[in-house]
Amino acid sequence: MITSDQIEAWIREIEERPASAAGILRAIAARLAELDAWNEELLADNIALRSGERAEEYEKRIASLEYQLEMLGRQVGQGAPALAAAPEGASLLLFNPRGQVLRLNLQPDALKPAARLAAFTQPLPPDSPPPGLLVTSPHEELLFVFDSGRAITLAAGKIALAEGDLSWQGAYRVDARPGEELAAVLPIARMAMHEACAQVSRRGCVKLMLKASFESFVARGTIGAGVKRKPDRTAALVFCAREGRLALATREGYLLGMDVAKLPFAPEEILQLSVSDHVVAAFSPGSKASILVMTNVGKVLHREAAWLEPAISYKSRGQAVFSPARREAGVRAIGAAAVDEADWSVALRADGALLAFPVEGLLASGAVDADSQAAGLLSFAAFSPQG
Amino acid sequence: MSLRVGIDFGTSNSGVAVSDGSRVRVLPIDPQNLVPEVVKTILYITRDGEALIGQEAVELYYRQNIGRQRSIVKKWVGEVEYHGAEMFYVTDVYAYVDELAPGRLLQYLKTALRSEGYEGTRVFERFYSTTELIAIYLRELKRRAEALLGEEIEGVTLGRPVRFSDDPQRDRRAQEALAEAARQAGFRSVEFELEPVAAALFYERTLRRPQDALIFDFGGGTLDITIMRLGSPQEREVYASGGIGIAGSDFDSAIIRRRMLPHFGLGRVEGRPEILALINAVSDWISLPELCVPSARHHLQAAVKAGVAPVQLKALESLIFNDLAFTFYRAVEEGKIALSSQGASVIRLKEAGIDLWELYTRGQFEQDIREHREKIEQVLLETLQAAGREPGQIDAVVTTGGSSNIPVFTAMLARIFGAGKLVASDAFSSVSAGLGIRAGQSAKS
Repeated sequence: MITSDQIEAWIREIEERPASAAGILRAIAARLAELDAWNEELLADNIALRSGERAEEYEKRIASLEYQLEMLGRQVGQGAPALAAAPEGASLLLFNPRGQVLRLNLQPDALKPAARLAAFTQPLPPDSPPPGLLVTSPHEELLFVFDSGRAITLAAGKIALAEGDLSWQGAYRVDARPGEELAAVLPIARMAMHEACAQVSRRGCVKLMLKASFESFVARGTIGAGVKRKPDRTAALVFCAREGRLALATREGYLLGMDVAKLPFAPEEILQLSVSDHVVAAFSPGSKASILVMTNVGKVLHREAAWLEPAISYKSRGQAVFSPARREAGVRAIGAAAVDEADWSVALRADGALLAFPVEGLLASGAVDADSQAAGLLSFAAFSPQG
Repeated sequence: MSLRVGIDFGTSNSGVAVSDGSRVRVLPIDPQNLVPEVVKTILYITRDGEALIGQEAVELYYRQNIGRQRSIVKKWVGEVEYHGAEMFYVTDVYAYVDELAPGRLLQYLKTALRSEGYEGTRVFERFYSTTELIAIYLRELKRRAEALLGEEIEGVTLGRPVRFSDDPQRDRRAQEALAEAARQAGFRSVEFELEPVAAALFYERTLRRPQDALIFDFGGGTLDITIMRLGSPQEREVYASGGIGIAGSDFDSAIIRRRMLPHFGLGRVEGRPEILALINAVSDWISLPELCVPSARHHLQAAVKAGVAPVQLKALESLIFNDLAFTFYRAVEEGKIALSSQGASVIRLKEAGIDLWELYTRGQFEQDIREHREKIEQVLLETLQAAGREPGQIDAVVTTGGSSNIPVFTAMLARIFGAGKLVASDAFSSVSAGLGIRAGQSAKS
């Protein structure tokens, strides 16, 4: 606030040292211009408030908070409506390291075996990193994590829905800084339901953040790069219970389980990888019955959750899920998840088509449909329609 | 020829200079500082034993201490024997210690040299003597200087005040401790030169006949005044020296108290001592991270909710909890420095929750530091008196140190001694430069 005493002091300065006048005038003019611009912003805000636009925004926010409340309700056993059965359906997100994000509406009636959900206008370049897939609620709050360790939050509903054929051109772009790449996306509305979050790097480093620390890192907008050395980068973030287990799946077909209680609080290499290998998926099995690994050739590998034994020391190699012969034949894992029979999955084919598959069908047949096997798969994600 | 540097190990700021005989160079020893040739005499030792100095130390201190967890525990530190009239008992003494403190910030290392009874301090589990602490600081200065010069430094010419202490024994011990610290830091040869002589060395080299000069060394932490005979090393005689612990950092505090605190709620908050304590603590940079505790946030948020100076207290909350202290104090210092060359400057801090804009004039600044100026004038006249000299008998007034550029002090000296007698030496680094010249001469000989 500018007081009359201050104004008197400025005038006195000009009277005593007229040479100061130009500087003082310039400073006041610059401040005036700044305040004028600010005033315009406030007036525009006021108009938005009066016209109800702001109220709409708040309504969306309330819906998002209600969703979070439902999630908490489930935690205390009050039940919640199914994810895909919600009136708005679920949201399927595709994202790439450039920070481009596409959001599709996933209606419950679209979930049919081998149903084509959407397709890119062109096949995806084979040498570019495969896009990430995530199924979540449109009311979810998403945490976008960059390879620099910076993290920003955004409501899923704020990303405009993609319509028709898919193309990265015109996709929503998260605020990546020069030189930064988007590394992972994590729905964080459920943060309150978990005790910890594990940050997993492509080269098998893990850093455990307890809930309080993780919340404060998120509030500060940086969770740390989570790597021991570059060019390693974050591959996934996983919420877990302190008594639970973390599972990592690698491209060359190894699975490693480790008790969360044993995970380090600073990045440590818990999984030893060959030079050509990297982590493709990380998850906490929880109470799910099975672990499903999807390969690039469309074959599905299924293991009972109990099959995965917890590693007792860091730098373990993990348990192989397919044979060296298959590995030599070029079979690679593209994703893995802990699943129940009632769950669903989505897979992105090399020709750009995006398809849905029931987990029950995948477990029964051990593969996706023949067309998809022929086309080859790039990305995979499983989700529970129960939210 | 072995390489020798001059080091001005000051109470608040230090500097390193080197001379090749024809040219003296004050090294940009602290690239992160506003003036890279000056490095704050501050040491920060982390829990894992890492030691940082200067601006790096200040920044890490802020980074590690703002928003961190604290766990205050009661620790036994010793016992006290009480002897009363007819009573005698021994009681335990406890201190409240933050066991999660990530590091310890140490200042005024030079003052510790002359303190009777102060042997050193415990930093976490280790006791460091004063000599060790200074050695750590000097070792880092040496390392940085060697990195800049690209060769190993053998010797050092250290500055020393005319008197560390009035007690000759204590004075000798202080110099010995400083010499030992330099040796521990890796300097194989150590010599001393009086700081005012170093400050006036440039000037002395231009003299054709001896003169009585007053050296007005006015830096960031203290004002040192020396009245001495200059001309040649044989003619040198110190008539009197004096000084006062008022300098640049006190002016920054005065600006904050008078002009900045209203932006954080001073004058608008009544009957809330806990909030007033937070507001008043802003003027002390070292205490700001200590305010970063949940109870402070709770008090501020409750006051904002109650509508008590909401804009100002929100700004205060942002200053304390958003790691803005360093930016804030720097903005104030920059505003003050600008006033040495212009009539007004803007002190600006626009960050989340803060939009601080203060158009600050030289007239306001002079008003804010009037008390300090009066004390300084008094010390100056007392030193003159102690030297048995009248202002008219002083042939030259050599000014050095960043604060000597402040127009109100230049005007004060001109009024007392006459403008023609003022000789401005290099404001920020003439002591360092003088010591560098002396080091160059020693290396040659």
